[in-house]
Amino acid sequence: MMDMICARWLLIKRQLPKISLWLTVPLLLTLVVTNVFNNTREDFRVPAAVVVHESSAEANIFIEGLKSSEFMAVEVFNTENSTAAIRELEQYRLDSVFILPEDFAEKIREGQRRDLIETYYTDRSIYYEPAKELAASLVQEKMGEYTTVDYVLELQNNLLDETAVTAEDIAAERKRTETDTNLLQQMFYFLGESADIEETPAFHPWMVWAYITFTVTIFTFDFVTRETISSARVRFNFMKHSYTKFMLLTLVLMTAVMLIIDSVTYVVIKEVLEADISFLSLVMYRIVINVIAFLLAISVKSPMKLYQAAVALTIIGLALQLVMPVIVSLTGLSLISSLHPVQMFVENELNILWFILSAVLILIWIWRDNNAGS
Amino acid sequence: MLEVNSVNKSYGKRHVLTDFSMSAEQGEIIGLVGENGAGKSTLLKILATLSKPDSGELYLNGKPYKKYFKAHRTVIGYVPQDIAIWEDLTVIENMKFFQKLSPAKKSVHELKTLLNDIQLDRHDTKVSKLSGGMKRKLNLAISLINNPEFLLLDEPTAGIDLKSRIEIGEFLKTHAKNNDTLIIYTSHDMNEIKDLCDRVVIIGKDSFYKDLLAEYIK
Repeated sequence: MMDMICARWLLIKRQLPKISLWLTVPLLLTLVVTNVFNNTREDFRVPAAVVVHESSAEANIFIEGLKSSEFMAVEVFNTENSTAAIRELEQYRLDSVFILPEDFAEKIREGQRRDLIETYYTDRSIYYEPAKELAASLVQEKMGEYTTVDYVLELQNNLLDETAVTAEDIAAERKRTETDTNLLQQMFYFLGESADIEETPAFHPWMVWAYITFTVTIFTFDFVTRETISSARVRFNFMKHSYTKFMLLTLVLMTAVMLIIDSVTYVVIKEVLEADISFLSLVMYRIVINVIAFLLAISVKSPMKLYQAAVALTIIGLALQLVMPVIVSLTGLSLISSLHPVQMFVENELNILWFILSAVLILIWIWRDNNAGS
Repeated sequence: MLEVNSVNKSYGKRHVLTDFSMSAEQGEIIGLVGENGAGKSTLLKILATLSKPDSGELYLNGKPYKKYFKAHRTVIGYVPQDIAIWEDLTVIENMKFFQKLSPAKKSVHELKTLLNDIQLDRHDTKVSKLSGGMKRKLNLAISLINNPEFLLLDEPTAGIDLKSRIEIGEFLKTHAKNNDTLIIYTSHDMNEIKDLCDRVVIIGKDSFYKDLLAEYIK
């Protein structure tokens, strides 16, 4: 075994700079792509401003509500620079401006909706209507809370003649009830098992990593193609270790090295991009793609064909993932999505099917080699 | 000792070897000559266990190829027509690589001695920077790492300069004599065959085979 490892080292050491570069590409590219995407998304948000004439919890809730919209970049101005907000609007640097009056909190408490917020928008405004609706709903929600509190307190005073619960308790209870009956957050049950349906982010860093890694792994294994098509391969027939054994060791060593790099990637993406994934799922995915890349590299006749296959397979994988929801809805077979290794990986599922298939393919390859010869 | 009895080999409808037989003793150098496509390389591959005959029997030291082909590989040295070395490695790295995987153990000193014997002294030069003659010498040296009893060479001097050709020929003569190695050698150069070989096996098309002593070749 040590002899094979030494021989492997002799043959691969001159390619280490290239391989090392390839191994760092997935993490670096994932960080770059994710940051570029996030920054671009920020750039494409519609700029809006809120002018606040009083500092109150109600004003803060309103601002946070607007900021929570994925499509708006909200800037806050106070009384001193309120004219600056209007000037920026006139210069088309803002899409719309919402001015909260001095007695905003009081009007909310009293339920005075009429002329509550003064709004301005440009003649080129593209997001005023949705923003206005959002603002109205935020105001309505807060007013509803106060109405409920007042009503319950009034009932309490009339019926009990004592103060059993406070306004804060009522507001908290209302919030809890609202959360429990939230129509936008659902719980599905299947045979007694329950699972939360989490909001799926539009851009998953691990999905970016998965595709880049798939392509790069195949590229990295180009040395396997070069060694397999080399005339020197014939000499392995006269060695104590077969070419299959030597290459199998290569696959194991490369997988071990890549798993170490993946562990670092796992920590970095988790910490920097705040995207978590099951580590076991990551390990399974790595093993599966390494076997695919290895078998592909050993089968093709030239490195160029390997590169072409890598790009083609990545595009096919990506296209299948995009059309997967359509296929599932047309066929009704949700099981189909479990055939896609990247889909399985980003959903924290174990690629058991692909793992078994990889193991079978490797065994067939070993069996074929053992039966070759005179 | 090698014994080949009535070996047949065809590729599709084309018969390459038909009822071919020969025998050879240790220490002999046998030249295989014949025109292109006559079946020299095919015969060499069959003798090297790299190809199966369609029918016929082969024995090395009395043991049949069919049953003992893996054991035979440990005592066979095969020098392929294509230069079978790693271009990215140096001369000594190539030797070390194949030594690590070889059934025989050799120290770095022994590997360097082998290279010097074959008059290849640029041990630390990358193979891609070597001349054709030097690459051929390294191709031969690697095949000798496992101290083969039976050495098969497929046009080992093809396309190289006269000096290297003479050096390889002299080395093979000495090696066969000192190590009692059976050498089978293919070449298109009759002068080289006459100078080097004890016997010549002529492989002609249409199943024409002739086994002659080299001294009768004119």
